[in-house]
Amino acid sequence: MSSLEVADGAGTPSTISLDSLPIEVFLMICERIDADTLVRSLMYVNKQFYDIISDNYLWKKRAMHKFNDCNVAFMLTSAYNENTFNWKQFAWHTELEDSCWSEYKTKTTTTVYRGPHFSEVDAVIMAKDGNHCISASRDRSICLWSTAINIINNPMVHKTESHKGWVWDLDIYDDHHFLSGSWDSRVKLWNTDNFSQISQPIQTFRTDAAVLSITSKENFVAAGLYMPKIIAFDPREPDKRLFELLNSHKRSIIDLCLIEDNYLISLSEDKTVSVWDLRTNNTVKSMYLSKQDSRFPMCASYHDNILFIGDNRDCIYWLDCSHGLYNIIETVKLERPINDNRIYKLNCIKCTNYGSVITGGNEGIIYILTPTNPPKVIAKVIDSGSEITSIDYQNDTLVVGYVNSYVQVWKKI
Amino acid sequence: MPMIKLQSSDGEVFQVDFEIAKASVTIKTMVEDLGLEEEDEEIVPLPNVNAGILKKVIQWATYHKDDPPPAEDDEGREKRTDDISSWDADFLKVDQGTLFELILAANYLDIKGLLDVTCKTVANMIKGKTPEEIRKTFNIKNDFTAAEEDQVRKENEWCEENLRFISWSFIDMKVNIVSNINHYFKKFKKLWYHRINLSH
Repeated sequence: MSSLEVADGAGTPSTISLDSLPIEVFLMICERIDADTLVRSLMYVNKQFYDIISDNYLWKKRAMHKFNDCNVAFMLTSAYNENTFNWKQFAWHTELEDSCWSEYKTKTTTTVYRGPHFSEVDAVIMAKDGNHCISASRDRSICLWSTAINIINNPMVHKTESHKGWVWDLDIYDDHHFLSGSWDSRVKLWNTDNFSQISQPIQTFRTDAAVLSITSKENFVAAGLYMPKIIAFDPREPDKRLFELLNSHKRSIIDLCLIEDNYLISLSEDKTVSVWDLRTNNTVKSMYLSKQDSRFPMCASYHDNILFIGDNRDCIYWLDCSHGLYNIIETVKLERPINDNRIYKLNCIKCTNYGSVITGGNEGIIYILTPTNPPKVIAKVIDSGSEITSIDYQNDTLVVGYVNSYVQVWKKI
Repeated sequence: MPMIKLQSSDGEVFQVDFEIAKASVTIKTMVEDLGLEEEDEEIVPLPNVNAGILKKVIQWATYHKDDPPPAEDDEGREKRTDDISSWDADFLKVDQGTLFELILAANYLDIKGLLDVTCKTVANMIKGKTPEEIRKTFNIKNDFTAAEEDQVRKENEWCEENLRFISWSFIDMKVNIVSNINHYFKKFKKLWYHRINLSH
C-alpha cells in the first residue's frame, strides 16, 4: 500500500480518481468497506460521497442482503415503515456487533473481578458511560468498579452492609444516581459520584416485601415485590407512595420494564405479563406468553418498539410495543444441540442496539444473538461456566454477574 | 489452441489465447455472438481500454486462467478484504491512476475476479482512515462548509455517542482544525465536560 502512495505523487497521465469513478463502481468499492468507515469517515470526505452514502435504499439493500431469509424484530412492529426506517443505523449496528463478537477472543479483552463478593452476584449494571460498573450481591454489599483496562485498585468502592438482606436488583436513576433493591424490602437511592464505603443512601423507600425488581425514570421509582404488588415512589417525597399496582398478578413480580414514558410492563411468576398505563394506573393488557403451563417470563429488555422477553424454557418473545398494542409478534426458540435435554432458563436479556440480543442463564453461557427469527448465534461465550444472573451492555462494554460471586467484563479493543 | 486478436483504444493489437480472453464475459459474449472461428482474422475492438491497461489485464487473466469460476454472490457475511493473494497484491502495486483504470477495464470487460480484487485494494486504502486522510490519499477537495458538516454529524448522532468516536476526532482535530474550528470547539467542550465528570 505504501508503494501506491509513493507512486501517487509521481503524477500519472490518468485523470481518474476515487471521486470520478462511475457510481456503480464506487458502490462496488463501498460494498467492500465496513459500515463504520462509511458512516463515520468516507461520508465526510466530500458532498458527492455524502450524497451517495446517505442513500437509505443502499443501506436497506446492504442490510437485507444479510437478513433476507429471516424475520428481523424491528421490522415487524406496526410502527415500522421501510421507507423511513433508519437502515444506515441498523446496518451500522449490525455490522459492528457482528464483527466484534464473532471474533470476540481477539477483538475484546476480558477481566474477571473476584474477591470482594463472597456470595452470589445478583445484579450488575453499567454506570457513567460504560467506564464503570456496579455489582450487588447476596453478601449485602455493593461494589463500584472501573471497567478501564489494567486498573489495579479495583473495586473502587466496596460498600458492605448496604442493605440488611440480599441485594437483588440495581437500576440507573440518572447520570449521577443509582438505585438498589433488596430482600430487606428497601429500595435505596445512592449518589454514584461520591459513592464510598461510608456513603449513606440519599433516600430509602420502604416496601411491603422483598424487592425483586426496580425500574425508574425522572421523579419516578417503581419496585416489583416478592408478592403480587408493584409500588411506585417519587424520590422528592420518599415517605409517600405515588401508587400501588395490584389486582393483576397472583404471584411475585420478577421483572419490570418502562416503555417510553407512559407504560410499565411487569413480568410475574404467575406466568403472566401485564401492561400498565401509568396515566391511569390500570392494566391495559395481561397475557400469557404461551399456552404451555410450565413457562413463565424471567427477564425483559426494550429497544425501538420491541420488548424482548426471555422465559424459563428456551424461548424469547417479541412484544410489539408500538401504538400501545403490546402484541406478541414472534416466539423465538433457541435451538438445543441434539442429545441435550437440558432446559435453558434465561435469567437475563439485553438489547441495547439493532445489532444484538444478549442472553445469560442457568447454563453459564452468554449468547450474543442477532435480533432475528431464527436467531443467528454471533458468539457463544463460555468462561467461568457458573450460572449467570445478570448482564448489562453499553458502549462497547459487556458486564456479567455470576452465581459463583464473580463479575466479568468484556471490553471491545 | 484458438487465438483471438484484441485491439486497444490506441490501436495496438494483442494476440491472446481464447481460453484466457474468456475470463472477460464481454469478450466471450462478443466472440460467441459474432461466431468467430479459429482462422478468422477478425479483430475484437476494445475502445474503452488502452494498450497499457489491456496488457496488464491480459497478464492478470493469464496468471488466473486456471482459477475456479468465481462463486455467485456470497450470501450473508460481510465481504472480506484481507484475502488478497500475494501475487495479486504485487500485481496491483501500481499508481492510483492505473489501479482505477484497471477497475474500469475490469468493469467494462466484465472480469469478476479482477474487479473484486481491485475494488478490495481500493477499499483497503480507505478502511480505518479519517476523512482527512482519505482526502489526502485520493487528492479530494473538501467541499463541505463547517455548517454543512455539522448537519451531517447531527444526522449521524447515534454513532457519535459512541465513545471511540471522541478519541478518534482528536486525530482529525490535528489535521482539520482550521476548517472546522467551530465544530471542534464544541466537541472539545463536550469532551472536557466528560473529563470533569469522570474525575469526580
